[in-house]
Amino acid sequence: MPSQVTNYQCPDCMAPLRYDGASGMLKCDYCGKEHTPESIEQYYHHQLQEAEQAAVDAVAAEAAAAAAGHHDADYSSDEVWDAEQEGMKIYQCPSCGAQLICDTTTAATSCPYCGNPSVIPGQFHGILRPDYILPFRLSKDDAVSALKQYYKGKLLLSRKFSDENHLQEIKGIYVPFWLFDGRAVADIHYRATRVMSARHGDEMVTTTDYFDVRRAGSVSFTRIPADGSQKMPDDLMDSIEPFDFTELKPFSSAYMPGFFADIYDVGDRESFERARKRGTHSAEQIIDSTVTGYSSVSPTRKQVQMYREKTSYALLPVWMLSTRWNGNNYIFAMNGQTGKFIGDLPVSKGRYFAWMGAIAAPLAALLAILLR
Amino acid sequence: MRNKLVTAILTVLMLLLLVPSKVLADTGDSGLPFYVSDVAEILSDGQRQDLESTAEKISSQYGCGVYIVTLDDYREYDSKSDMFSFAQDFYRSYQLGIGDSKSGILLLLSMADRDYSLVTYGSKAHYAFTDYGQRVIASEFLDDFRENEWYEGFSDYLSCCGDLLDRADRGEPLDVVYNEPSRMNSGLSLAVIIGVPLLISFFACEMMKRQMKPVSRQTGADEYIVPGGINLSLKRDVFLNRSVTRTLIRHEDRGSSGGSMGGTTVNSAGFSGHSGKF
Repeated sequence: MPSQVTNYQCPDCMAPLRYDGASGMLKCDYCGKEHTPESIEQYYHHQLQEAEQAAVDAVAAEAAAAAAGHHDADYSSDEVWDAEQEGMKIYQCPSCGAQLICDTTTAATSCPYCGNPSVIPGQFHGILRPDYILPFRLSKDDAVSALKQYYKGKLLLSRKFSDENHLQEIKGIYVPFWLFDGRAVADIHYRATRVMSARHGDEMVTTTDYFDVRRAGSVSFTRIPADGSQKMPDDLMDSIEPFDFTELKPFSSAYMPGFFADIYDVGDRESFERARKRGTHSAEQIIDSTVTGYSSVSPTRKQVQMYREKTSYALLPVWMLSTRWNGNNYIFAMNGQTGKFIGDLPVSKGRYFAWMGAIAAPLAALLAILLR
Repeated sequence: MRNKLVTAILTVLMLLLLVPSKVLADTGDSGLPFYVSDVAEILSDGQRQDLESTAEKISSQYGCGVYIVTLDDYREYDSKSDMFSFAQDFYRSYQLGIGDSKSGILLLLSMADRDYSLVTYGSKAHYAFTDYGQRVIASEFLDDFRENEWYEGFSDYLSCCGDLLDRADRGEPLDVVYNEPSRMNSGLSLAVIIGVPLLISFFACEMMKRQMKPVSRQTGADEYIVPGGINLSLKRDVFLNRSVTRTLIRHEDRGSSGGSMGGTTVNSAGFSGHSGKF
């Protein structure tokens, strides 16, 4: 049986609502009315509870059916089995009744038939419910203009790429992130030297003092982010940091209409490894920087541990853009809160060698004149 | 001043007595009839004659006297002057040099304390033997003299003097500022002209390329440090031991030799050069 999907509809005209990042309101494109997320959440509170309960019941029913050795008679068992085997789930659009096939981590999407934004509240049940959500502040238009701006000043970018490539897809996605609070504890031993030279008569006297240096301390971190989505490239997600976490809001699905959302499929334990490496690296550098006043310093023994103190689960706003050129896909990401835009671009070999020649030729001419 | 003059005259007289008669030869308009005088007898007859012949050939070819004198101890002739002053007095007293400007270069060795002095005089010598050129000459013979290889050292001295006079003859005296690049051979110049710009442009293009691939994993978490969250609990610096090394500073250059600004430094007496130990 398809799970429950919720549309946030305008209480006045029942048209679908869309979250507008710039105003922080849910907008009705049909009647033009705006509603705060809190008011809509309150309005839909009962429906949400029902949807979440339905999702729980559906999971329990499926488990019971599986234990009893039979499936729901309303649907072809093969069809359901195939979809689940492929890691997909089937939902029903409450607006037009079409069946939405999404992967198991999808938490918000839009109906491909009627275009209505839909939220799947059951995905956020129990431990899957995020602690926080950072609402989108920047719109789709902002992301498109940021992409055009991003091309500017890239001297090795082929003009054909910026002229000919077309945006294949642009999606605003709430990406699941783990936020780790923790403390790195370091104890590092160093061997250091201090060298002094002075002239005494006809002799240069060089004095080298050797020191055993030890530093110990701790560095506390708050909310080191690590994305919990296998679909999102880790380096791309790292590159759009930082987010301003002072704007985090307690989770509410009222911020989600109009955007896509995933639930995590990489657990906190696995994600913490990334945060641990970053924390210990920073702690090492900070402790190293306290060893000053020496001519040379080299570490002889290092003990750096990162302890996790608190873990939060948050959905953070990311605009994902993809283009295709010369048979290759290029993916870009924009921080939906700060607008930081990042993505690898193709290097034009022609431009590369043209620039090499343009730099080398006048330099060679200048050297030829100087060495004549 | 009077004392110096008397000393110089005495020196000349004594040297004339000491100089073996077999080395006396016609040396053009120089007041001293030899180019190589081995009073300290550190060369064999054959070696001395060979050097004499080379020195004579160079001197007559370029119109600039090239002289070698060895003494047991210059203080036997002048106990008050230093080596450089003694070499200048010697040059003047023997009226060394060729032509109206009395151009020449003299390498004088005093074996007792292993002193040497290199002096040049006259416009032609000053043009050919710049301060830098003199240091190049000294570096040619000093390594041989330190090994007591006297003939090899003098041969290198004469050969280097010949090269420098030849360069000066072509209007390209060896000097630190203007002539270093011209010492490069054409192959090396071509390599520099092509290689250096290529290298610079390669690095510039690689930097541009890096700008095209900015996506990378974060390695640190500095932005997430809690304000006031850095706590240094132990800071210990323990002195272990000390080592002391002493290096003797060489004083090869003394006298009127100039720095590295190029050209030739000439003192008020019209001499250029320097003295030192080998």
